[in-house]
This record gives sequence, structure tokens and C-alpha cells, in this order.
Amino acid sequence: MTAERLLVAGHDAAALDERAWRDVRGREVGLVLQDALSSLDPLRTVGAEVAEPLRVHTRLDRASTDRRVLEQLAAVGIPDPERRVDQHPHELSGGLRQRALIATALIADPPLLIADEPTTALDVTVQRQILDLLERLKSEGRGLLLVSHDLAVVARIADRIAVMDDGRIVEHGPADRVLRAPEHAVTRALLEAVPRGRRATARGAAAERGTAGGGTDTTSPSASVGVPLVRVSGVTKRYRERGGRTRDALAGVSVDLDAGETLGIVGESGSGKSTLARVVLGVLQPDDGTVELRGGPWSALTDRRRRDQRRTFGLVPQDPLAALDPRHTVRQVLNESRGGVRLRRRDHDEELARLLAEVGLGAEHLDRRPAELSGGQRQRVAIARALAGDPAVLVCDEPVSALDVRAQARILALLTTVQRARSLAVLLVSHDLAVVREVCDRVAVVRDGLIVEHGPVEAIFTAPQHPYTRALLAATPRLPGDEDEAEIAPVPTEEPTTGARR
Amino acid sequence: MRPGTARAVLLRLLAGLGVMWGAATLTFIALQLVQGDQVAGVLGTNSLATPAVRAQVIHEYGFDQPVLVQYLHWLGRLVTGDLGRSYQLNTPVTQALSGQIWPTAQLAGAATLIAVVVSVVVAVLTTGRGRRVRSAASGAELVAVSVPAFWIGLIALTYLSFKWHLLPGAGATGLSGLLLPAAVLSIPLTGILSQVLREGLDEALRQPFAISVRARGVGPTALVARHALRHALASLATLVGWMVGSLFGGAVLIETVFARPGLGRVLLSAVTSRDLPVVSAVVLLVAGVFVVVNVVVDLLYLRIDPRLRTPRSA
Amino acid sequence: MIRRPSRVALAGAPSGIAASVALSPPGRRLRGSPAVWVAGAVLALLVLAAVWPGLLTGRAPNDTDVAHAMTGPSGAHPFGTDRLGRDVFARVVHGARTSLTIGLSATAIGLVAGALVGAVAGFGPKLLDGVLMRLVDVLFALPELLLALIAIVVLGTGPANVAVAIGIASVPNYARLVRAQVLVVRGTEFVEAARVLGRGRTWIVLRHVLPNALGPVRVLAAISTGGAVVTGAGLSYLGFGPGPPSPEWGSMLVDGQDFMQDAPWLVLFPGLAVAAVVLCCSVLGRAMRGRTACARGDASRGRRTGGAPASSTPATVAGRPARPRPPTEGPRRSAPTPRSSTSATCGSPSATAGPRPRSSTASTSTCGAASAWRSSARPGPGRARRRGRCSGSPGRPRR
Repeated sequence: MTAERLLVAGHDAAALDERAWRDVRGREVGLVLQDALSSLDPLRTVGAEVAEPLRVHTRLDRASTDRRVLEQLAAVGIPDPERRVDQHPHELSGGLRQRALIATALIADPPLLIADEPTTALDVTVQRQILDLLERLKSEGRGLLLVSHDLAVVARIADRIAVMDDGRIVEHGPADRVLRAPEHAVTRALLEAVPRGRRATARGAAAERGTAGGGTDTTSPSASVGVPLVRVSGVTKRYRERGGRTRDALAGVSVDLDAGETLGIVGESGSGKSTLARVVLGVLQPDDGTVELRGGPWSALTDRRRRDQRRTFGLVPQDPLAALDPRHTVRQVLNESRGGVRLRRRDHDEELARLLAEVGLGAEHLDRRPAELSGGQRQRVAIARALAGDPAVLVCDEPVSALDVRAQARILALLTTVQRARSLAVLLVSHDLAVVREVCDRVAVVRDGLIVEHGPVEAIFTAPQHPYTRALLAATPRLPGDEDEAEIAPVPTEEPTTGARR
Repeated sequence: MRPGTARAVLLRLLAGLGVMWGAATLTFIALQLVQGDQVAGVLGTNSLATPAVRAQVIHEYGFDQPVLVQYLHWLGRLVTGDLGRSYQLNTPVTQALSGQIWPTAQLAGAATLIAVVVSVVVAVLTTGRGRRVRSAASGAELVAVSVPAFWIGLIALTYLSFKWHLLPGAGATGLSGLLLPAAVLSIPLTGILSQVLREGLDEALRQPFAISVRARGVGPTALVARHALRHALASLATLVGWMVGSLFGGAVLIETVFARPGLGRVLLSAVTSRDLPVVSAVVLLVAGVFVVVNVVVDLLYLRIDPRLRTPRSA
Repeated sequence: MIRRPSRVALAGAPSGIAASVALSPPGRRLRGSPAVWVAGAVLALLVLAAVWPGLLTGRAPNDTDVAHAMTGPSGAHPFGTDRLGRDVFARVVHGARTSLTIGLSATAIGLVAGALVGAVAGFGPKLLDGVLMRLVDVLFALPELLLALIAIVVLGTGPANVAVAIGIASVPNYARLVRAQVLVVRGTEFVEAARVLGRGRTWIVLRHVLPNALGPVRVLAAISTGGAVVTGAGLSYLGFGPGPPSPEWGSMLVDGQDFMQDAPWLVLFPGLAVAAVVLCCSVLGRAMRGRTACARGDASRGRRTGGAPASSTPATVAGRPARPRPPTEGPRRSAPTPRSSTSATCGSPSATAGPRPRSSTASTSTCGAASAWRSSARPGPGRARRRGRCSGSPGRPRR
């Protein structure tokens, strides 16, 4: 990075030597990074970490340092700071950790705070709280430089926005103007790529079939008409935690999936949504309850018997890099899912090329390995693999969360196209409400292993019944253009204790 | 001590007992495999022994009893601390070994001390430096680890002691006599320790928290001293098993090269003469040291890394 | 450095042999740094000496020439002569066969037996895994040299027995590494993906697990071969190798050490030969590792957490869904979590081979193999991807 001139608090930073820089760091500029679990020294107590800038920049005695630390922890909204100072970062929940990290940046009272993706690793409800905190700090007169990939997050607090592309600021202006009237193509592309959940409801009819309802019994009424493609009834999955206790990742979940419909499973991390997907896929055995496929047994089958029917399901993974064997070429990957059908090489290649074309890749990708592909291309390969067996159900487990915004939009569009073209049933697991809203017909909101609310997508998003759904919706950052939605009052929720479940 | 810690210690100690039992069983199996030779071992070179004497020996040592009974006797004796009698020396094994433990412990302790001091200094000086410093250091470490220490011992003995008379030669005792063998024994240890420490430091400095810490205005030295070193120390724990073995194996050879008394020499003569009670005693001793050192290191590790103290974290 | 040289070199590779190979696409060519080329050339020369010593020296190793005893290195005798006037160069050249044979056969024995034990433990039922690993723990508590000496007590002396003894002593290393690798690969998402595709166990083992698991084992074998040569020389030096007349590097050291002051070349050259083998093996092993290592981090670290039965239920390691889905992105740096400290103590089902340090990357997670593998294996791309989001090109760092 080069700069003609970098002024920090009136000093010409280019002229600063290492020692002078150290005076600036922490005192003039505070830094908050993405993931507090790794951005705080995991081997030291929260108190020691928060006190460090004071030790560096001031000559406070121990007692006043301790007092300042407690004050600061309280100021960033950490309850019971006396207890927290002696704990280590891993003992705190994600939100508290992030607050503690913010406290380390603030304690020497720098006028400028740099926050680099401060909420990227957090659940939406926690994200909301952290953003509230940052907003409060800003309103107290502190400068805030917020770096984020998420326009919606930036839109929430920023006064001015600078859009960067390829190391250059391509657009810079007041937040309102940039978001409402973007001038640069990159900005427009970014804005368009943000999923808004305002899809034309072409399949509104399908959505109508579901009904809103709370509780765990969410069997759709269409079940009585015909046999659903997949029926999950009363599924419980227990995990043994260290120390002998058990935890229900799923606690009696029932849900149906009809042919050709898209069902979204929404929840925060640890809610059990991925477990549900894996139970449906038949890679996890439920401890209780059953999964039926086309009215016949599925979870009750032995693994060997299930194998013949596995082609009914295709899996679109969260992280295609992990889900593709690094040693295999795309050709090998696709062959793996095609079973024992032997074709002449030419026909075979043609078929693979057709498959790749369907997901927007060319035949030239056949001999590449996952490491040689971009994230979006890998996910396309994974989708092609899922489609190769001609499945009836596509299980998408956070299919776009590992991708950048623009690739996200393209992969979502691809999934929708494929779903329509092949009239697949899709089970889409996501933490991202906007993604679910954009793609799904019906939604089930999962929390702590239970489906708390379930219904057609529009009903859930416009008239959520359950307080948790409302809290989730309220916490989701929105672009200003989307505020025409009925603003739903946030319901205070206790912070999920993802970090310190014990 | 938290209950969790106490439980962890207890578990490790139990596991350690398991290892000791396994080692005892292993040596018993070895004893059984060479049983025919055992009688010869007891009788020694006195091959003129009459069949009657032979039978008496067989009976006395219980070689005629069922294997299971012999095994249980063997375990029972071990539990009471009776390691048997050396065939070769015809003295209790404990007596034969007791005088030899201290010189070996001295040698190993001194070598560890040298290795730790040198490697910490080298690692701290070379971490976060340019590529040249790093590749020079890792090259030196590779050589230190690869070149046979006993050969270096031979060369060093030739030049430093016999040609230049800088240090006392083979067979010398006392601190000055300890210096050269300990230094030689520490060479591979130093190589590996400094390598692991430096990589640990580098790894810690690559962590996001290093950026946070620097952003607080902390200088690079303080960052290493206050934060990274602790992370790097944690990575040493796994090496302990290797270190115990390395020190012991090295000591056997170094003691031979420098004609020092110690476990190594006892072991070698026992192996040569198939004096199994002595061999098995050494096996149990080494396994015991391994277990104890590992438990201690595990405890240290619990101190170093608080994340291990809580039974579960996200 | 008699003890476990293999582990030395391995431990030098905390960057995780285990993780790396599984991730890297094969077939990339060795990047030829000069050190690698030199090491390769020296090894080739030594192998030539072992296979066809006559090509390098015209003299027989045991031809005595008392008239020219104890002469220093010269044109006629590049490495000098010993007290019987035997040509040291010829003896070093002819000694290569014994030493390399010991090294290679010991490695082969250790590799085959260890891989077998490790694979059975990794694939087999939990109970068998437990029993085997406890056995390995016991062996692990004993220094390699001691194990080799026990084996020699039972088997007797001689080069063949020395090779077998060293091989037996190295079994625990291989067993642990292979098991760890199998568990790591078994827990990966691409194995799960293959299951979802309806592939059977055999297919998965042959197509995914073994190819990905064996890479690091190759590296260990390369490095261990050098170690076995040193251990062999050490055992010969201690008097358990081939008898006096045969040219063997370790016994040459014994022969020469009494005359070190007057004829240092008697000790110097055989020792250099041993050192050369080890160095070359280490350099090549490191190059193999470097080639295969995509990133730093150590897969097996995550497995050290006691008791988590990653083996039986890949999905529920340490009692929760194996993949902790971060709300936002996949390859987020995973939580630094406790690595149990049970280095090599017995009770822990440590899946590691050798003392691979758990460095504080902490990229291991309680949830064990799969995620540890994932997170540790590519912090780079993950970060880059996060960074790259704005620019819309994944993997391209923003700065």
C-alpha cells in the first residue's frame, strides 16, 4: 500500500517511525477485527487483554487499571464484568467476546475506531446488538471506520460509504446517496447481488399450500392429499457432550417436503438445522422418529439398502472445497455420482459436458481439480455432481454462505433455474433470511432443535407469529430500499450462548 | 486445583499405570521368548552344570510353572518393588541399577538445560525475520538433527580433549567431565526444540490476535514475550515423549563414547549377556520416567492453556 | 541422535504432514531447489554404491596391505587406510549396501506393519481400535533404541536382526500416523458427499480414504529411512551389527575410534557417510512435505482431545454436529479450542504420529478431525475469501 500522505490525528503518519506509531496505535486508533475468539489472545484473561493498552500507554497503578477495565467492560454492555475479567475468551459467548474485543480497542480512548468485519462471524441477533453498540459509540462522537463486505451492515450505521474494487475506491459519497443512487457499476452490482427476498412469486401457488402454524407439528395439509416426497416425523437427534450430558440437536421435529417445492430451514448456528438436513440425507441416524421417502421407510433402512435409493437426494454443500476430493478432477467427481453406467468415452464426455453446461461451466473444466477453480465454480461442480444422479430432492446446506456476494447471487439464481427446469424438491438450510425468502416456498424456523414457526414464505416474513421469528427478522440488516417492509419491533432475546454452552 | 483438573490428573495417572503394566507385560513376553536362554543366563558360562543343577535352577526361578502363574508372580513381584536378580551380577537388580541412575540423570538433565536455553534464544532471535535468517536457522537445525550425535561425540573427543586438551577426555567425572557429553547429547534436542519453538512463535504471530495486540501499541518484543512465547511453549508439550526417548537413546551411545558410567552401559552389558531382569528393569524405569514426565507436562499444559481447563467450549 | 530420528524430522514439520497431503492435488512436480537436487544426487550415488560398489572403487573392502597401514587420505587412498592397510574409501563404498539395506528394510517392516495396525485401528470397530492404540501407546512410551535392544535380546545380533529390530521399533510411529490420517480423511466432507451419492464403503476406502491418507505416510517413510540408517549404525557401533571384518559404517567407527588421534579419517568418513544419508533423506522428505503441504496447521492436533469418538460417528465428534456452521461463512477460522495435552500418554487416543507439536494456531477444534482438518488446512483461502468478498472475486485478497 502506498499513500501520498496519511494523516492520523494531525500527525503525518508517513513520517512516523515504529516507536511513534506505537503511540498512535491504541491511543489514537483502536482496532476491532472479525473474530474475537482468535483476535483476543486465547491464553490470557479478558481482563489482561482489555488492560493491555493501558499498560502500554499509561502509567496507571494496578488498582486504577482494574477499575478502568471494569468500567470499560460495563460500558460496552458486558453484564457482570467482575466475573468476566477473570475469564478467558473461549468462556464467553460470541457476542460478549466481540464486546470484550471492542473494549480492548476503546480503553485507551482513541478518537477513531477501525472495525474490520466486526460482525461477520456472528449470528444475526448478536450482529444486531453489536451494530447497536457501534452505532452508540459513533453517536458519542467517535470516528468509526467500518470495513465490511455486507452492504446492509454498512448501510445501517455509516454516514459515508466508499466502495472499493481491485484496490481502488470506485465510489465515495454520503451513505444515502450511494445506496439509493449508485453511480459506479461495481456498487450497482453489489447492491443487486444483495438478496432482498423480493422474488416474483411465480410459484405462489405452491406457497399457498402450506399453512402458518406454530409448534412442532408442521405436517403440511397437502400430506393428506398425496404422500409427501419426504416426511420427517418426530425426529430427535441427541449428542453426547463431554461430561456425559446429552443435548438434543433435534427435539421431535416433523416436517414434510413435497415434490417440486422449496422448503427453507432457517435458524442460527447451533439450532439444529444442519443436523436436520443430514438426517434427511440419511447420513445421520435419528435417535427417535422416522424419515419416510415416498411413503416408504428411509431412516429405518439399513445403510446398504438405503444406498440404492440415495440417488433420490443430491447434496449441495456449504463449502465445496471441503466437499470435493482435492485429488479428483471434475471428471472424476462427476463420474463418482453416475454409478456404474459405462458409456463410450465420447458419449460419456458429451454427457458430462451437458451436465456442466447446465450449471454454467464448460467442458474445459473437466480436467481441473477443485483447487484450480474459483469458489463459485466449485459450487457449480458440486451442484453438477448433485444433479448427475438425477435426484428428486436437492438438499442445500448453506449453499452460498461460503461465497462472496456476487457469486452468491449467481449460485442462487442457478439453483432456482435448476429447480424449475427439473422440478426438484429443494430443502434449503440457511442462516440467511434474505436467501430463504428469495428462493423458498415454505419456511420452517428452527431454534434449539425445535421448529418454532412454519408456513408459507410470505406469511412468515410479513406476519411472523413467534417472538423468535420476529426477533430474527428485526435483527436482519436491511438496505434502505427495503424498509418499506413492515418494521417489526425487535423482541429482546437473551443472547444465544454459543460460546459458553456448558 | 479444580475438580476437572484433579480428574484429568487421575485419569492420566491411571493411563500411566496402564502403560507401566503394558511395559511389564511386554518384558515378560520377551522373557518367555528367550526362556531357554534364561537358564543359560542364570548358569552363566558355567556350562559344566549337571542336569541336576539345571533342574534346580529351573525350579528355583519358577521356569517350570505354568506361564500364567509365572506372569502373575512376575507382576506381583514388580508391584512390591522386587525387580529380580541380575543373572550376570548375581545381585538384586535394584542394587545393580541404583548407582547408575544418577549419572544418567545428570547427563540428561544437563543436556535438557542446554537445549532449552539455546533453543529459546535461537527461536526468539530468528522468529519473524527475513527469509535468509530463517533458512539459515532451519538449515542448521536440520544438520543438528540429522548428524549422528555419537559421531560428533567421537570427533569432539578427539579434538577438544585429546588434541587440544580443552576439556577432560573420556572417563572424566565432575562438572567439567559432564560438559562435553551433555553438550553433544543436547545437539539434536536443540535442533528440534528451536525449530518447533520458532514455528510455534511464527504460528502465534500469524494469528489475528497478534494484529490486535500490535494495534494496541505493543511493540514486537513485548508481543513475543507476553503473548507468542506462551503459545509456542504449548507446542513443546507434544515433544516431551520424544525428548525422553531421545535423551535415553542418546545417553546409551554417549555413555559408551565417553566411557561414562550410567544406565546405558548397564543396559548394553545386560543386552549382550541376555541378562533379562536388568533389561526389563531398565524398560520399566524408562517407561515410568516417560509416564511421570508426561503427566507433569500435561499439568503444565493445563496451566499454559486455559482452554483445556474448561470441560467444554463451543 | 540415535533416538527416533524419524520423529525428529517429523516434528520439524509441525505444519502437519497429516493435513497437508490430503488436500493437495497430486501430480505437481517436485520443485527443484538446489538442496533437493544435491540430496537426490548424493542419495543416487549412495544407492549406486550399494548396488554396484565395483563401479566406484576398484579395491576390495577387505584387502589388507600392512605396508600402507594408517596412511592419511591421498590420491591412491582418498579416504586413507586403516590399521590393516585396508582402503577406507572402498570400505565406505561397500558399507553402503549393509547400511542402506538395514535402513530400507527396517522402514519397509515398520511401514507395512504400522500401516496395517493403523488402518485396522482406523477402519475397524471401536473396541479393536482402542485395544490396538493402547498397545501402541505402550510401545510409544519406550524409546526406539530401547525397543530395538529388546528385540535384539530376543532375536540375537546381526544385520538382519538389527533391521527387524529397528523396523519393529518404528511400528508405533506409522500406526499412529496412518490411523490419524484415516480418521481425518474419513471425517471429511467429501467422504460424506460420496456416501450421499450412494457409494459403498469399499469404494470410499479405495477411492478417497487411502489415496488421501497415504501421502503423509510417504513423507514419514522417506524421513524415517535416514533415521533407520543412523539407528542401524548406532547399533553396530554398540556391537550388535555385523561382525568385524564386514565393512559397515557403524563398526568402522568402532574400529577407528581407538586411533582417532592419529588417524581421524577412520572415524570421519564413515560418520560423514551416515550423516549424508540422513541429511539427504530429511531434505527429500521435507521437499515432499513442502510439495504436498497446502498450508500450515496440523490436522491431527484436533484429534488429541480425549475420548471423542471421531472414529465411530464422523458426524458427532465430541458430542455435537461435526460441522459447526458459522452463521456467515464456511471456512471461517475455526475456534481455537482445547487440545488435550495428553501428549503421548497412554490414555489418550491420540491420533497423532510422533510428537507433532500442537502449535498455537489453535486452529484445531474440539469437534475433531473433520473441522480441524478443514480449518487448519486452509486458513489462507478462507481468509482470502472473506477478504475478497467485496471485490467479487473469491480468493483474491483485497489488499
